[in-house]
Amino acid sequence: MTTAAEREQPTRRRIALPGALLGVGLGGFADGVVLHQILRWHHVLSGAGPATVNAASVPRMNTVWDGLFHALAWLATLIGLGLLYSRVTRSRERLWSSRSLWGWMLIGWGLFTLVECAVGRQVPGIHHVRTGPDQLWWDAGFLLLGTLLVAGGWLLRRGGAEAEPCREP
Amino acid sequence: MTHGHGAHPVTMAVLVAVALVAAGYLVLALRERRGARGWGLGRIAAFLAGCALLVAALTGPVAALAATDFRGHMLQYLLIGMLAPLGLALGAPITLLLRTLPPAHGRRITALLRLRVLQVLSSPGMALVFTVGSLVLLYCTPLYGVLAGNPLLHVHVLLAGYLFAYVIAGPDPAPHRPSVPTRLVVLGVFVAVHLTLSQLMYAGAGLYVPAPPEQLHGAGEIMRYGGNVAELLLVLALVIGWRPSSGRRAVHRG
Repeated sequence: MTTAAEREQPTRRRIALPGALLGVGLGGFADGVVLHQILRWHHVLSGAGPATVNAASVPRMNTVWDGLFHALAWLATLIGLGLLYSRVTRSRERLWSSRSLWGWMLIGWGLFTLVECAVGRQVPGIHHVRTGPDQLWWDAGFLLLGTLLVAGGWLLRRGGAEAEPCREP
Repeated sequence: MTHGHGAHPVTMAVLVAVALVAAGYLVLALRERRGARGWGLGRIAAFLAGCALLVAALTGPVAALAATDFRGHMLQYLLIGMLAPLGLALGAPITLLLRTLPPAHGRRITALLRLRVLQVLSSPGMALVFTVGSLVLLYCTPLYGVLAGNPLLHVHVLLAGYLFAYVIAGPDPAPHRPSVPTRLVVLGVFVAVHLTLSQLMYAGAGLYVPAPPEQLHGAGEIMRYGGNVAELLLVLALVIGWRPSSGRRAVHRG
């Protein structure tokens, strides 16, 4: 017989990958819908020109990249859910009150934001968060946001032992 | 022909059917609600919202726009084929019927659900063929030019959308519903075809749709972002509905 604590430890780690993938997916949707579509700050390739131009005149490549970006967000979400389903086989109804799951989701979201900023800064032609005279500040703000998300997720995850799913009731 | 919009007899029949179904559902649901097992308000709200979306799509400004503008057609597709069916499926109408009808009728419904035909129809492959398969057929062949504005197209889109929502997420019993991982893969294929079609539409390339570029462009955006919202709601419904423990595996590990 294993003790409850011994059984929990691997479970907490098992939730890490699906949680982070879900976070990446959610981050992708938030970025894709809010920043790309509603605010129209940037497209994936909008570094090539002003971000505020009429959508009809944006190069066609941009929409292809936006589509791929959406596809990646979907892929992360669906794979994350599939892993979560196959790894958590008991008491799934308590899954969504698990602090470690939400913690890992925030970490995934933060990592997505950091990677997006880093790629935007380093690779010419790919977008900044918001192209313009203040783009350095926008980039810095998003780096900070990403860091805060990762740190917040890490703290949330650490306190997550008592609300762990897949434990015997 | 000058009587304005929504006068087609098939559309009128659909609207009357929607009103009757909504009234019937409400009567049965309220009766069940007073019973011992109860009936959730969320389910009632979902079903009535589905009915309301159907009415909104088939009448008024949306129908008027759809008669002349491809963006209106896409809006109708989004409402009739994706959002309304999800609401209807989440209302669990089959469960309601099974609970409220006399046992003899209930057995007949259960037998119907187990029919070989329905088993084939509700297989993941067929659900994909009926939904995105018919979309590809409609937009990538000259078929749209023939069928545009035909109310029977709405009936097909509604039935296909309902079948899809029922197979993927629906709380109603489905004897042959595929496993959660299979359903996630099916959703992935659905999303991929949808995204590709909306991209082609946005770019105005590769489709046989006789509409001006700005209409195609707008319809592509509606399809992509509206479709994303509907698909995310579908995923949410799937996740909420997945069983607390999947019988056999839980026993093995326990």
